[in-house]
Amino acid sequence: MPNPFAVLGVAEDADDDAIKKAYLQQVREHPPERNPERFQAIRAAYEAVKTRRDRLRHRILQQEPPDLAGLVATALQPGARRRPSEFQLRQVLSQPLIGPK
Amino acid sequence: MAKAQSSPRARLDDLPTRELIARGSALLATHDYKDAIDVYKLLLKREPQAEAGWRESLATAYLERARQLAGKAMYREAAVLWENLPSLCGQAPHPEGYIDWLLRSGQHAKAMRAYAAHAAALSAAEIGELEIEIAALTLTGQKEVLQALPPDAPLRQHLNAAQDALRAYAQGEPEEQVRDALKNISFRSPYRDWRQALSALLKLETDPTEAAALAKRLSPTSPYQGLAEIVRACAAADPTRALLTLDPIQRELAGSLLGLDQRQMKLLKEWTRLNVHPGDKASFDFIIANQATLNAELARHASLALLPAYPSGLKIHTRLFGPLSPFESNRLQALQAERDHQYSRALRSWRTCAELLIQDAGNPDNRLAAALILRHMAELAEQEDLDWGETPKTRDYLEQSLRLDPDDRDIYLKLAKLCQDAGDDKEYHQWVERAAKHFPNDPQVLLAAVETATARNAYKKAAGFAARVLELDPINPKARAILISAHLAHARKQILAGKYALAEKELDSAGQLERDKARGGVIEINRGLLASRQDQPERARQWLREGLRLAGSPVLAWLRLAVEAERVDLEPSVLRRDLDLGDPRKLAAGRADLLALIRAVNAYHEEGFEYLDATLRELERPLKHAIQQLEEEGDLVAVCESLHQAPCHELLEIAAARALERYPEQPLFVYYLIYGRAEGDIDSVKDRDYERLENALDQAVAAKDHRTVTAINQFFSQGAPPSPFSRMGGPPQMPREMRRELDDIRRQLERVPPALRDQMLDAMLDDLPPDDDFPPKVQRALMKILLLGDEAFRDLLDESPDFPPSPRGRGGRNKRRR
Repeated sequence: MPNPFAVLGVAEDADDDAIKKAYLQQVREHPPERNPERFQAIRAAYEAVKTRRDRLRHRILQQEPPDLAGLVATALQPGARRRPSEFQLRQVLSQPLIGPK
Repeated sequence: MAKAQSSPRARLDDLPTRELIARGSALLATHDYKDAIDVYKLLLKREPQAEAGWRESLATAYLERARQLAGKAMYREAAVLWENLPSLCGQAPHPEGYIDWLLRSGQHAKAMRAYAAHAAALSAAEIGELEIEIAALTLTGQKEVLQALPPDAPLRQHLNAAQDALRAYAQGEPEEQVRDALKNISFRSPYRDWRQALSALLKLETDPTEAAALAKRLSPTSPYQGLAEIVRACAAADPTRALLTLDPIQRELAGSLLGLDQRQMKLLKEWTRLNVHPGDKASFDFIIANQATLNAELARHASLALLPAYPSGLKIHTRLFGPLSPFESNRLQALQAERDHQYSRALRSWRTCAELLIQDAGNPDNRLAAALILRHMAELAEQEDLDWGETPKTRDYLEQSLRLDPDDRDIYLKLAKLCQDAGDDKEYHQWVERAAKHFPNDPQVLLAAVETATARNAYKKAAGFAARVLELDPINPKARAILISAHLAHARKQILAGKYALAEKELDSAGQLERDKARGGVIEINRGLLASRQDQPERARQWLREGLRLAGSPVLAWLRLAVEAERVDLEPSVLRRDLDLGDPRKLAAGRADLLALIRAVNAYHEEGFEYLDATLRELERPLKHAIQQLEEEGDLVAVCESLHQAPCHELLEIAAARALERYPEQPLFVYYLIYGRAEGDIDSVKDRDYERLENALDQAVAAKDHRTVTAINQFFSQGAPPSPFSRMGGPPQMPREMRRELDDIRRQLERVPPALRDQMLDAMLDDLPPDDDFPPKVQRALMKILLLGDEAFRDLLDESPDFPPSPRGRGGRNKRRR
């Protein structure tokens, strides 16, 4: 299961209100009719940590392997965007033409 | 046989020309161009001068086969195949495909020569598409391409503008300057796709969604698709995952666009190297190798989360993130033990965790955490069958948890259920009452309170709880039904006590709550019974007639009157005579009447009314008639189950026999038939039926029909001493002969004086053969139980409090018939 705090975009020490607010925000952005899978993940994350009791239970008893993708995504937060060099652009353009014609 | 092993070529050579021609056409029609080439080459070899269109067919086969290879990105092979065309068939069809394959396979110089040679044969559209590809190559500075372009070639016309735009963009010039350069590239220029791709890259800086839309407009075969993929990945909601779909060169460029630094790029590179589902060690190593780049706290959490699965990482984790607290250390041990299915060890570690937290119970988080751990321990103990010993662990843990966190409703209800299942009614009622006190406005708790109060004949209390539920939830049908039942039960109590005014009040209350006469005349019958007790015969008759009418069917009316009258100590036969109900054998009953009666029987059974057998026997004739009308398996199961529970053996045998007519030898119905025939007594089962029952058991086991297996095993175990195997899914079935032998030995032992009996018994036990499953001491004890029954079993329990494990449902449910 992905890290529920990462799914909701809240800190691990977020309280009930912050978690509910983040949940509602996520549901607005990813409503079930548009993205049912994402909605299910958001819903599951909310259910896992919505109350203090749930968060404690999750922290103590959670046995799922860690969400490495979420961990990497957090570490790869975009910084100051840079334009690629001429070399990089020409290198990409030099790659074999893609796909059958 | 030799013929079958010959090569396809040899087989083709054997075919006459006429058949070869047919085969060639068929192969072309089924797009089998590879084999079609062989056929037409052979035909032309046989008759080189033929004018039957074979050369055209061979050309078609070659061209289509080349296209098939190009479709698999085998451009070089496709080009080679095409190059055979002019010599074999004197044609060079579709040179644009050949030039494209040369360009895509990196044979640029050859492609440019072919372009020059075939340009005259190409259409404007074909030239346009090829020039877009060649333009992309000129942008990359391909010398072979540039040198091949004539000075006045259109491809040279916008080359400078395209390169200026590329340089301006790469050197970080303002967007306007880049766009100025792009303006010099017209919409019809071979560089128009470059203009689109660069616009998308520029847009990425301000509006990623729009940038992705611009990139999407590029043709799927555009040479700038590589850039389009980068734009889409950078604009994705989750760029980390999208970047994984790119190749390393694309990822490098995307990293720049996203502003990733060198450490992040290294992390991304290592992340792409990790499998989609890495193992625990690989995951741990990845976290440790990149912990400097990862969020420190998240990395620590992730490393910690992996330790139960990868305990070897503990040393490194400790070195990098510091030593574990005693709590964490025990928590990890508990989780590890659970993974290893070592539940007793897990419980010990969890116990230590809870104790450590309780040491600082002033901290509310610690109290709650300790309570949660105790609840988890209860779940483990229950799931893994660890409730051995005098006090079931599950209950003990849950009770402790409530002392730390008394606000979990479900735990009260769980405890109540555990006590109820164990037959500990006093504790069961107490837990429900505690819950009701703690959660006075919770309908679920209040409904449970109604049930326990009713079970204890505390009708006023039950009615109070049910009324509260209806206040909170006015349409709760369960509460309404319970409240009506509570008023009825209280009314009966008042009738029996001679408090008729109070009884009437209770019946009025029940009547006010009832909707659509859902109780099928029970209230009206009780009004009639009350009037009868008050010596008001006419009023009694009126109410009883109304009640019987509402019952809906004559057999159900008969049952209701019998049951309700008996509940208030009135003789049903007197009332029947007075109402002129006639002979029950002449009542009519069909399937619907029977099923309605069965529902009523079940409801009475649930209410604890157990004297239904006599009334059902009175109705045997009409019910027998109704049973013969049953066809559906579900109906037959429901009827047999109810009659089995009632119990009404005669009708059960009839219903089971009917069921077996429809569903021959179905194990459940075989069981019901034999159970009914033997009147529920295993010792009355005839030898032939015993074998039939054993066969039914075998069938049920094979079909994994657990319900039937349990029922038959329970029937077989009647009269046997309490079994130490009851927690292992029921006692092992003992062959009948063996049981008889044991009975004989037991009877003989009972006849001899106690001192001699002990000697004889010891001598027999000394002769027991060795057993692989039990140590000698246990084997002797078990054999003693089998021979001496309850007394020896109690002795064994006294000697070994932990063996055997206590039965799950202690108390009433496990009581033996004898």
